[in-house]
This record gives sequence, C-alpha cells and structure tokens, in this order.
Amino acid sequence: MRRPRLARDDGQAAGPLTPVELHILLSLADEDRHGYAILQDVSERTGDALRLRTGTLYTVIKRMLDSGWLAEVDGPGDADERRRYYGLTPAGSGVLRAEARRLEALVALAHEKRVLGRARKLAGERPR
Amino acid sequence: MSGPWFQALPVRAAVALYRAILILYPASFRARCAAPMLETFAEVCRRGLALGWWRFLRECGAEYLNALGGAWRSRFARERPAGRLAAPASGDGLARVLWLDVRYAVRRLLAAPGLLLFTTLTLGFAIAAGTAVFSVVDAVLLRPSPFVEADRLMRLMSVSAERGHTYPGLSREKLRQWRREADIFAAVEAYRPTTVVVTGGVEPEELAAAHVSPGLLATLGVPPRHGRTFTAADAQPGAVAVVLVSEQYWRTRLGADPAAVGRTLHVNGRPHSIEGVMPERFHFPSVRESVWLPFDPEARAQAGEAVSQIIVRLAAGLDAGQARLRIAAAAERLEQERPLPTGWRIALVPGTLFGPDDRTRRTVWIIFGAVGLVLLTACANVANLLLSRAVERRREFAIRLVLGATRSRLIRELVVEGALIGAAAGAVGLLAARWALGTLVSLAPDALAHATTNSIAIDARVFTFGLALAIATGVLCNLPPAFKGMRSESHDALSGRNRTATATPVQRRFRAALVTGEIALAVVLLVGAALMVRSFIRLNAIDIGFDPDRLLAVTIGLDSARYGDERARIGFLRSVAADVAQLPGVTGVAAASGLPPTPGTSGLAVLSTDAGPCGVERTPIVSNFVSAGYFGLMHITLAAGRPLRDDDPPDAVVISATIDRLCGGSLVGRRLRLDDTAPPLQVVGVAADVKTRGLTAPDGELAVYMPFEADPAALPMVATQHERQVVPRRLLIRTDAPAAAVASVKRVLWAHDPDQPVLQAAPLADLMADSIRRERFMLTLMTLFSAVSLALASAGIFGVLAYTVAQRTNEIGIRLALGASANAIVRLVVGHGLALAVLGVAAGVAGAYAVASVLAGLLYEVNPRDPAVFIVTPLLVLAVAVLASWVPTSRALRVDPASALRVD
Repeated sequence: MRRPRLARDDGQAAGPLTPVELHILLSLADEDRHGYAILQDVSERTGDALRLRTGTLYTVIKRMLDSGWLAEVDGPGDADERRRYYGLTPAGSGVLRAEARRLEALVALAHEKRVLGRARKLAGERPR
Repeated sequence: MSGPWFQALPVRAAVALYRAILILYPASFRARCAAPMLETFAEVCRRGLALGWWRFLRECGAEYLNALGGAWRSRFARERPAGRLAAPASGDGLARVLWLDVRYAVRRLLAAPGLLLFTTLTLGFAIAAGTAVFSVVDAVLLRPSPFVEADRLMRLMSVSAERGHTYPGLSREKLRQWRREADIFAAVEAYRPTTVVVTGGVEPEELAAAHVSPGLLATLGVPPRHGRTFTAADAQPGAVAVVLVSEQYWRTRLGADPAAVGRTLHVNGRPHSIEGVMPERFHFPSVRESVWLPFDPEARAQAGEAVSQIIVRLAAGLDAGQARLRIAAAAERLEQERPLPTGWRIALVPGTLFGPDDRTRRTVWIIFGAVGLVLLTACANVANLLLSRAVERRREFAIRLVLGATRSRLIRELVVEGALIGAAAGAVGLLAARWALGTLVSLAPDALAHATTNSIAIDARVFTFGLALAIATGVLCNLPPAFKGMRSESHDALSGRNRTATATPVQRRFRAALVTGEIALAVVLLVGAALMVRSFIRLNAIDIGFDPDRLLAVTIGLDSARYGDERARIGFLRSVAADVAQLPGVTGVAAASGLPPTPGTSGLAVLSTDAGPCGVERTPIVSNFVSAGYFGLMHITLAAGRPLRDDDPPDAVVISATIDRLCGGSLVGRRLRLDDTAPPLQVVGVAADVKTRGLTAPDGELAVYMPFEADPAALPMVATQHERQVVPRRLLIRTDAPAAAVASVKRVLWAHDPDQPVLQAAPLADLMADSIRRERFMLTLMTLFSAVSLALASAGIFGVLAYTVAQRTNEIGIRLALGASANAIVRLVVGHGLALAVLGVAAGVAGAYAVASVLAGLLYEVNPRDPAVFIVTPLLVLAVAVLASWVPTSRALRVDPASALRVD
C-alpha cells in the first residue's frame, strides 16, 4: 500500500505543497520555532485566514520530519527546555525554494495572461 | 473563589483529556510528537483562558476534534508523503466504509439490548444532569453581561464595619455628593425596585418594576428595541407620565405590536404613556422586572429620608483598586460635610452588577463539581461494563483477526460503536436535560435564579456541549476494550479455554481500580449529602418563636392612590377580615404589616428608656403593626405584660425579649424610645424572640409590635423603605386547611374590591420553608447525586464480583470438592468485594476530608469535617458493598462441584 517517499535531497519534491505545508515551511524559513510559535506565526501572517490546530500541525510536522524536510533543533539559549524547536533541513529549504519558484512562475504566467489586470504596470510607473 | 484551582485546574484537566486522545495516535507518532503537542496544546489553552471561559471551551473543543481527526488520519488515511496531493475520490470510499461500520455497530448493539439500555440510561442521566447544571453555570457564571463594559459597572453600598450589615443604598445627599466626584465615576445612577399595579388588562396585575434615574439605561449601554429610553425631562415634576416595558411584557400583553409605543398603560391607577420596549436580553435589576419608571433620585421625597440603590461606572482608566483608594480619600473629605452614622462606611462592590453573591457562586460550583463526579462515576461504570464485555468478545476478535480482518478495522468499529452509544445517551440526556433544567430552576433559590440577568435555558451552545460530552464519553469508555481485546493472544482465545482462563492481572486490576474509584467518588458525594442533611436537621430544629401550622398568610398590596391614608387601609382590612372570619373552617383572623419571613419595616434603632440610653448603637430593628389577635394566632408567648388590644392607644408597644434584656429588663409599664427623635412608646408587653427574617436569621432580633393604628412617625429614622406606591398588608387566617382556603378568601376580598390584586397567598409554614430554599435545593441535589453514584458504585461492585465468580467457577468447584466450607467461599467472594470497598472508602474519605471545606459557608452550625458524618458514611458504603456482594456469593455457593469440573 505504501508509496515510496518522493522527496529528494535536491529539493525536487514532486508536485505542489498543500497550503498548510507551505505555511509551516515559510514559518521556519527565517528562524527555528517551537510548535505554538508556528501556530501563532501562521495565524498572524494570514490574518487568521488559516487557523492551524495542534493536531493538524503535528500530523504535518511528523510527515515532514519523516521526509527529512525538518529536523528537531536546539532552541535559543533561554528557551524553555520542555519545548521542542524545529528547523528547516537543506532538503526542506530546497523544497520551499522550488515551491516558491513554481508559484513565481505561476504568478508570472497569470500576469502574462492579464489575469491580474494592469496593476503591475501601473505600479511600475513613476509619479509625475 | 478565584483560587489557584480556579485558574490552573481547567488547563490541567483539558491537557489530561488531550493526553487521553493522543493515545489514539500510532506509537511511532506519539514517541516523536506527543510531548511537544501537549506543550503546544497547553499554550493554546492558557491563551484561550486568558480571553475568557467561553473562548477557552471553544478552543479546547476545536483542538479535541482536530486531534481526533489527526489520529484518524495518521492511523487510517492512506500513507501520503509530504508534498503530494490527497488521493482523489478517497472520501467517497471512506464514507461508504463508515456507513458499513455504523450499520454493523448498530446491529451488534441491538443484539445486546440490556447493555445498550443500561449504558444509554446511565450515561444519559449523567449527561442530562451535567447539561442542565452547565446551563446554569453558563448563564450565572460564564456568559457575559449584556451591559456595555460590565466590568466597569459597580455598586456603591453602605456597610457596617462591625456587624457586617450591608444596606444596598445611599441617601440622596450622599448621591449628590458622589455625583460630583467626576474623577472617580463616569456616571452615578440610582434605582429603586418596587411593585406596581397595572390595570385595564384582563385582570389587575401586580408587576415587579423599578424606578430608574433617567441616565441609568444609557449608563448600562443597552438601547431600546422600540421607542426611546428616559430623558432628564421625564423625571421632572409635572412631566407626562411615561413608562418602559420589557420585551416579554410587550410580547405577552401587547401582542408584540410595534405600534404599542405611544399607547397608554394604567400604572397604579394613573395613565402612563409607553415610550419604549427594552430588548429581550435586558433584565434590570433582576429578571423579574417588566416595567421601568423614571424618577429623580435627588428630588426630595415626600416622607422620611429616601434611599436609592446606586450603580456607578468607573471613570476611564481607573480600576477597582484605584477607585477604592480615591473613594476612601473622598469619603474622608465628604465625611466632614455630612457624616455617616458611626461605624458605617461606603463600599464599592465589584464584579458584575447583579452577579451572583459569593454563596450563590459557591453553590453553583459545588453543584457543578458534584455533577462532574456523577458523570465520572457513570463513565467508570459504563467502562467497566464494556471491559467485561471485551473479555467475553476476545474470541470473536481473535477469530476475525485470524480470518484476515485488520486491527485498524476492528478499532474503527469499536470507535463507531462507542460514538453510537454516546450519541444515543446524548439524545436521551438532552431530552431529559430539558426536563431537568426546568425542575432545577423551579427548585432553585431566588438568589440563584435571579443571580443572573441572563435567562437560563438550554441554548445551542449548551446543546453542543452536551452532545460532545456524550460522544466523547461513549468513545472513551469503549476504547479501553479496543486495546484490551486486541492484546489478547489469539491462540489462547481460540483454544476455547475461556472458562478457566480468567482475565489477565492487568485487566483485573484495571477493573478493580475503576470500581474503587467509583466507591471513592460515591463516598465524597455521600459525605457532602450527609453534611447537608445534618445542617438541614439543625435548621428545622431552630426555635422560630411561633407556630406557623394551620395559618394562611395573605398579602395584599394596597394602592396608595385608592387607599390613600392609613385610616382607609385599616377600614378596608377590617371589613375584609370580618367577612373572612365568617368563612367555614376559619377560627381566627388577624392583620399585620409584616409576617415572618418578611419583616414589616426595617430600620436602625438607637434605644433609650427614661433611665437613659440602652447603650445600643444603631442596631437593625423590625417594626410590625399588628391587630389584637396576632399573638394568639401566631402562638407567640409573652414573657411579661399583655398582648396588644384593639383599644390600645397608638403609642402602646410590645417589645421582643432581646430589647427587654438589652435595656435592663422589666420594661413593662415604662417608656421606650426607638430613636432620639421618635416620640416615646409605652411598653405593655414583652414577647418571645421571633425569627422575623426567616430561619437563617441570627438569634436575638430586635422587634417591636405596635397597634395597627400606630403612627409611622414613631419608626426609627433611617428606614430602608422609600415612599411606596403599594402598601403591603397581611391577613393572617387560622384554618385547618390553609391551602384550600385560598380561593374562598380571594372571593371575599374581591367582593369588597374587584380591582385589588393579591400579592401572595400561601400557608405560613410554606413561606418559612421557602426561607431555607437554598439549603433545601442543595440538599435535594446532593442527595439525588449521591444516591445515584452509590447505586452506580454498588452496581460496579456487583458486576466485578459476578464476573469474578463466573470466571472462577472452576476454582470454586475444586475448592468445594476438596472440602472447603461454605464460610470459606463466602469469605473469598465477600472478602474480594470488601477489599475493593475498603480501598475506595479510604480514598473517598481522604478526598472528602480534603474538599469538605468548600461547603463551609453553606452549612448551618455543622462543621464541614463533622466526625459523625465521616464515621457513619463509610460504614453505610461498606454495608452497601456487602449487600452488593450477596447475589454473586449465593451464586458461588450454588456451584455444583461435579458439573464445574466436568466441563473441560
């Protein structure tokens, strides 16, 4: 029944990430965080549009730990030692980068197709 | 009651439940993530709790559901590496499988109807009680007040430092002083609860109402549903009489007609224009009021010194502590302007406006705690039952495993089964809860029912809570068997050695622990109930100083618009009393201004005789105008002198024994002043002390009885009563069947005046009993809860023993064959039951001893650690344990050695 895990060290994870995965990776992109900090960061960044719950968070964290995208790391010096901190592995950074590129390409495509109107061009014009 | 348990316990309890849910995750998952998950969850809880109770419960609920979903996915969802979209159309398949599971579980449950019935009723009862009580907790303690920034609304009161008396009011001079303190209060508003007679409808009605200062409603911040609220002009003398009505009154009496605003309502005989309808959730000052009238608290009242109750809104940026400091400073300054009587001070009473007092708060929490214990007991019992069923089902599980069923599938089935049991119990529970809540509220003491301005009802949120509780209980109770049944070695089970092989030691110990726990919980509840019983017996043994039997008390509110002076009121009452006395079965009638447990007029007395002051500083005193027959009908004994006569001069007075004692004794024939400014009264008799304020009133009340025609000016000066629109007067009627006489007395009254409403007509004994309604309420609930939990615990003992006997039939047979006596067998079985009971009782007594102090404020002259209770209760539980062992024992004695040995 089990499929082979497809994530590879080169970050060429096949296929798009789910929103939850993407946001967790983004949360860890700039610093290592513990679980509650991830919850808070995601909910702040998305203006509560994405309300992660503990169960969902750790189901995904577990999967990403197993896939080698995340690793448990030491917290900052003053950290509460009951808390476990998570950080991106090189593989995780690769996946995030690849996903960001994919999205960038998608957005570029959308602009090309004028999906977003002329907003970009106007923004580029200088004020007179 | 905001001790540490209040803060930390909810989070700890929530985390414990979360930990239980984590058991559902695969072991590999738990090993890696359980600890950080608990830590994260605790953080979520703490933040939720910081934002309020409701937020906390909502967060926890969402987290639990999410965790259950996560457990399901991590166990059963197809393994999916990160970065892959979910397999399409799997939901469809899952739904179908689930449907099959449900059908199978239903069939299996219906195959054991006894089990289904027992679990459903047990859990259903516990959930009904839990939901009903939670509805009260929610309304009284959790739900926010409808008033804007209710935490900044407080009351100003006068408190006597030494005696602890609280008068919830201030004089108009004090009100005016405090209104000038703009740096402490954003608003100082006043109100006076009252009753009004509304006529012109189907029948004359007596309604609870409140006079409110014009700015009060704006200060509370609740806009009207229709029309407007009061303006300052409404309270001016000569203004058009206006009135606001409650949503409920508008709906039931005015046909919910939006055009009702502007219509006329006859209040106390005068036409008033309805200017507005308040919204449904607006209740002020309690849930009873349906009419509000404007008044100017600073205007001079007609007679005496009127007192209003005060609501303040703290000035912006001030908290209660700072406000209190400033009040103390200001009070000192104001004291020089117009001093309060010595020993009295102004107090800022915090918390919600009409929030529950401490005793009520405590009552509600204790009931909630008790109901929680019952729920736990019920869960333990159901778990026990399901566990024993699991051992029986080992064979079935083993066969299905061997035939290729996956473990996950079996677990899923058990979860579905548990959820179904829970849902069934929830349905039963919620139906019963509707009924239970009605009973609860009707039994509840006024202090509780009116402790909240929210209406108490099972709403959608409480319904959700009940259902979630039911399903969680069902699933959690059914899960231990899921793991037990699985772990058994299949070959063992398949080999058919079921009768010889007893449950594993772990299983036995677990079940024993459950039963022990049940007994412990039952003991805690029983101790609580026993303490209540003792307290109640004490209350009933109090000497109230009179005999309320065979007396009917009829209270009528005489409208001052129609019975303007005392002469008219007396004339009316005389003629009614004369006709009532002619009724068959009536052997005596008397009139009074007050009857226990409602005192006539209360005030503060500074007693003095001709020999000088009695040295009594401003003590609460009750004055009662009574007609000649009063002492005889009430069976109040006179220690000296004579009772009042109808031809007594207005200054004759009968005093209570305590006054006689305080003023040096043998006052009969001498003169007594109640206050420096009051005219002297001639003492004609000394009556025994009476509990004029109900059973729980302190001993040694000061009371004076004056002839019905007495001059109210003789009353002590600081009267709490204000000018009244409706003057209550009581008729006391002696008859063999007080309750049955109500209708004929009313007929007589209405023959004299068809527009005269009756405020209350009830046997005096019932009224006295009502004064200990809170105690009776607690007693009833605690007795019910403890009886249920004792029944459950004894069912638990019975179950464990019966099961053990069935399992050990072989062993018992062998013992009997080898010559064991019947005594030895009895010792074996009963000893087992007693061992469980003793353990449980010990734990229960320790637990009860630890928590008994929470009952302290609610018991009357009973030590919460009363030794008798702590000795008798455990003995009772042990006796019940022995009884519960009886059937299994006799079954063991009937074992036939020959057949027991033959089976294998």
